[in-house]
Amino acid sequence: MRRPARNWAGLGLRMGVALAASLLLLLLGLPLIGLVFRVPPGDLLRRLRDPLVLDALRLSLVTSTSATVLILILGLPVAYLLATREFPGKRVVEVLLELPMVLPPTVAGVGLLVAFGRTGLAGGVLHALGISLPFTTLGVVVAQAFVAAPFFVGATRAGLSGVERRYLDAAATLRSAPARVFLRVMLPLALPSLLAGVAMSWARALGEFGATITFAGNMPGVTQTMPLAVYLALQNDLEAALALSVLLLAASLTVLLALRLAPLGAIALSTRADHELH
Amino acid sequence: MLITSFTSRRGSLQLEVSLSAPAGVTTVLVGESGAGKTSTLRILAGLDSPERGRLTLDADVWLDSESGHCVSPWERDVGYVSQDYALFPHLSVADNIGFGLRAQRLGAPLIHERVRAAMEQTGIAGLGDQRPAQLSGGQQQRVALARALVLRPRLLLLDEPLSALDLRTRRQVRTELRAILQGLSSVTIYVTHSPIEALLFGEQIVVLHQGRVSQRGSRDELLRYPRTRYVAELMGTNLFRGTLGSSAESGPVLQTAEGGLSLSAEGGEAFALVDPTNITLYREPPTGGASAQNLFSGPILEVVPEPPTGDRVRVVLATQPVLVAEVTREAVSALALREGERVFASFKATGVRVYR
Repeated sequence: MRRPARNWAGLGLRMGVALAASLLLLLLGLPLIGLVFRVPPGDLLRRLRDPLVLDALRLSLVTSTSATVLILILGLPVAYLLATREFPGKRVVEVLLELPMVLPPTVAGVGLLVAFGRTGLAGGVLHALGISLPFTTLGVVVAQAFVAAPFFVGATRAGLSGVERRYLDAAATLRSAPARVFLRVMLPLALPSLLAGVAMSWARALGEFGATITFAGNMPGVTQTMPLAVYLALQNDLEAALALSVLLLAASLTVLLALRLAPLGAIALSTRADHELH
Repeated sequence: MLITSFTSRRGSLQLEVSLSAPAGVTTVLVGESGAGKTSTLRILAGLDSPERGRLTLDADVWLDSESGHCVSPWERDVGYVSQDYALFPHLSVADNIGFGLRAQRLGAPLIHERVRAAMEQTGIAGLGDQRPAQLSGGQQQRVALARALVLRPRLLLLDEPLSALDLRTRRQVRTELRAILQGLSSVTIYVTHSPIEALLFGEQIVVLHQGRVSQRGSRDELLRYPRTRYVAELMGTNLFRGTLGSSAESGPVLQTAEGGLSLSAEGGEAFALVDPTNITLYREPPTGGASAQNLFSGPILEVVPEPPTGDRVRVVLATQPVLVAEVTREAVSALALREGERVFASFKATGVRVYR
């Protein structure tokens, strides 16, 4: 026997959940749909032939990918240390690594100027080395790496910490020194998290606006990435801004899907393995 | 020959272990959970370091806290099968087994051949391409064993290798595992909480109790001459310790802390062992023919089938001292033996084995 009151409560709850879900999907999905439907495909192809657009797109892909590689090289050892070792000042390192996530990007850009600008803290050293960062493409990469690094380090660290101790112990008793344990056991088992971290930091780098325009400026072909070009186009040419936005959207989707679909299989496999082992 | 002695603090447990294990036989380390068995194995494997201690295998010193010398686990000639096997989920069965060989940079053909031989030895030939998750518990256990054996370690450590298996699989794997272990020339240390497994596998048995070695010896020695209450309980028998004396009416008596026992021996400190099958249970006080008999009375604490599916039943009595009797299933139903029921237990003085 079901009591009607309870039934009503259940119905109300279900409707509430359905409403919330629909509203959130609209909020996230409508701008995407709007972008895709406002721009005719022919217009898109014509824009792709525009050298200014092409430059911005190429610059965006090159800088965001470079920033991601830089983050991968510098971030993986840090993620490993944080996941496996206890050391004095660990909390400080952790806070420092999370700071770029909460810092407004323009503030990050000002900070970068003060640190690596011509008259900045490390400006002299960089100048002596013949490196100039502000208002250069390299500066764009540094700005993107600054804001995107925490996403990679956070996800990778969580993945490495999640590799169960028993696998590491087993590998150690199988003649494997720590370096081999890391390469053959830790890294493969944490690969889904690592790839998710790569995807997130790459996407963050691709969309970077505030730190880039503050630290590297807005020079076409040199520091004008797609988000900057979109914003600039919006001032005088809405159609151009729309087309650029769709191009950026397509580029992000392609890379994200490629990165996300690869680890999906790995995740399914590893969770099933774990499930059945216990 | 493995010789070790160490002290180590693990949480609330103070480990003080000293043991030696010869090559070519299986040494069983038996004790209740929390006795320090796994901690001991991890120290032998080099996964944990004790505060103080020394460990040698033949002429090699693996650990010497005096000189600060400690060989890393990956440099020890050891095979370690952990309780949950820890098979790498991202590698095939063959790659799991070949993992240690590949670390030693042996050639691919040699690795292939040794992996194949190890799989044959453990009865999992043909499963090489499977993932661990696709295997049954018994098969996973064999892969873990093969992964350790393929390295031909001089020290083989097995931590409760059968405990993760269901009862039916366990019986089958047990027989096969015994045959495999008997053919090894390594120092083999087998950890278990099960007295049955200890007796089945242990040519030499070391009993660990609350972080200390409570008794060690051959299977026979432990069965026939348990020296502590804990070992006797583990072996499922009745042990009393006291002073031998004599009384006018009942002859020789063993005075224990809990009461007197009539025996057929005299003089000094001694242990007395009462085989549970020599104890007879009654609902009413037995009359007649009770000369030189030990008669106790008390409520039943526990009625346990032994083995779990067998036709013998162990009855634990809250007498002074506590007694364990082993009777048939028929007797249990005939006497309506249930927990809490008051019964009488008797055994002959000649049924008590006394030793010092």
